[in-house]
Amino acid sequence: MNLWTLAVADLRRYRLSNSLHLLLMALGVALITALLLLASQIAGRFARDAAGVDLVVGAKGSPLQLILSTVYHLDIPTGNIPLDEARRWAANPMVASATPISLGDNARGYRIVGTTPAMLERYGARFASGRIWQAPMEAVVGADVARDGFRQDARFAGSHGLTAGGHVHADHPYRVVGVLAPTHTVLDRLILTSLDSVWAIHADHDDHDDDAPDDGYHADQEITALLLRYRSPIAAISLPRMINMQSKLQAASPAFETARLMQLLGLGFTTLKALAGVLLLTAALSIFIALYTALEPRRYELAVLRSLGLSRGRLVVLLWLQALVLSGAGTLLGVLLGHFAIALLGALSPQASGIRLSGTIAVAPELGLLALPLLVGTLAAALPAWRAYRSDPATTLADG
Amino acid sequence: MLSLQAIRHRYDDRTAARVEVLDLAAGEPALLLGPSGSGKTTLLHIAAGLLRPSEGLVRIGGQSLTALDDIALDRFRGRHVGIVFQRLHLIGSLTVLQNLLAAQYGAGLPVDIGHGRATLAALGIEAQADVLPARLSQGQAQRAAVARATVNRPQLIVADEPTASLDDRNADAVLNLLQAHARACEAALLIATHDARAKACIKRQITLEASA
Repeated sequence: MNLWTLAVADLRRYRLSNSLHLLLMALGVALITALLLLASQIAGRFARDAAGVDLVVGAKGSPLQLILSTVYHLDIPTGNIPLDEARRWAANPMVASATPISLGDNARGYRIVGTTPAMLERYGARFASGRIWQAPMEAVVGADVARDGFRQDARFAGSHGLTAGGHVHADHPYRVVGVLAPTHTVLDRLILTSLDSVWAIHADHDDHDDDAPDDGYHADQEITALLLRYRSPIAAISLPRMINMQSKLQAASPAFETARLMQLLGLGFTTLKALAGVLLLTAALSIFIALYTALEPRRYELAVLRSLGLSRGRLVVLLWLQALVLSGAGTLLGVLLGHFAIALLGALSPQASGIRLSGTIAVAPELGLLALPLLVGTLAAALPAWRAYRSDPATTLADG
Repeated sequence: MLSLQAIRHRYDDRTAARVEVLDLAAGEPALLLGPSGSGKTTLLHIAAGLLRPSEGLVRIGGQSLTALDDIALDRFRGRHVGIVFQRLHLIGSLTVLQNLLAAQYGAGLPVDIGHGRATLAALGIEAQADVLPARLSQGQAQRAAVARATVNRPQLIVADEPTASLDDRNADAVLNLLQAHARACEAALLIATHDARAKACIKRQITLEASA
């Protein structure tokens, strides 16, 4: 028997209405938790996908589109750039390393990316089986792609375009020579091959379409973009401007463009956060109303507790404890609900989001939520506790 | 055991209760009589340490209540005074036994379940220990209230109109119960009442006059 027992016994007595107050609190917290998880996982995913890319050089157009298409593989590319010009920038002394990529085909919706082994090193990818491509039409597939039927040694044909349903290059089948272990980046959803494979298909493809002479390697070979890594941070100041001014190419920074994107998304997040704030305020208000309206029917019990020896101070603690139990349990339930919601979202739309949301990861800002019941509970208990403190047990008990 | 001296209590300049001298020995029962508005309940609350009188001295077992600060007075009341309310006021969210343990906790005494059960057994309601007060019969509830008032073996037991709503048989039973358990605790017993049935069985009677 102590204040805790007294507090919990009384909460249990009105368990239905108290559960509702608790649920209201939980919904507010769940929304905030889900937002925190979503923001951190999206930001984390963006950061991992762009690992090792300081600058993207591609065709002129929207810089955001260039980044989305070549780093995150979400949008269509802005166009192609001449290989020899790309090579010129790759050889620039300010550039530490350069990864060319060439887009244009897909297999059942998975993008086929012509590139160099540097692409795998960038993500620290490891082989679950097989090896890297050594000849044209050999492909290495990401973990998600492999799980979707592109097994080791499987053969498949690419089709034109970046979404399923384009012209099928049936006469140029690929063979899966390697499967990558999961990296939890966009790499898991890509099919990688040599630049030569892409060129070979499209040389022939152009041939079919245009009847152009096929002389193997063209002098005007093209790639989609060049992913650069700076040798030193100083390059960030001069290199993008040099590229943008001195060539027909465009240079865009993933860090800058994603920051811009997050800013656009941020507006939505802010709205949702405001909504969650309103929900929390409602929860605090509802706990306050619960405690305050309970004062009237409870006034004899509180007076009796005083007559049994409890000081005013301990009545205050009792009411505060009850508010804390409600808001604390609400917060706990809310955090669980938030994680569950994100896990559900991740399970229901793993393909669509491409982000692969996880409900089992906790993020640091959630620790801040632990302070929430303290704040809400204290806010809700303040006035009822003050009234309980001020009330005189003799006056109350004299009425009955 | 209980000693009141020159007590005056005023609400808004109106004298609500006055008594010159009242002394009760350990185990001694007394009735507090008087018409409605004569301040029986007020005086009972003053004797129990629930209310500080405007003037006068209250001693329980030699301890002057005036000398205690608010928190010490709360603690002293919990420890040394048992109160039986007219409407009993058992705490509805707690079982009968928990009501007794709450009295131990409020008094700052160690919570002793064995002693709580023994107290219930002495009142013949041990079987109701784990029942909520709402499930008790009137007689059982009366006994539970007496059990809660006596569980800490107080020096003073006060009861406010304990027989007001009872039939003759139950009124007798409650008066006997209160006297028996006050004697057992060697506690002074002060009962505020206007019930003629009580006058018949308790000889010591203090009559308050309607205040002017």
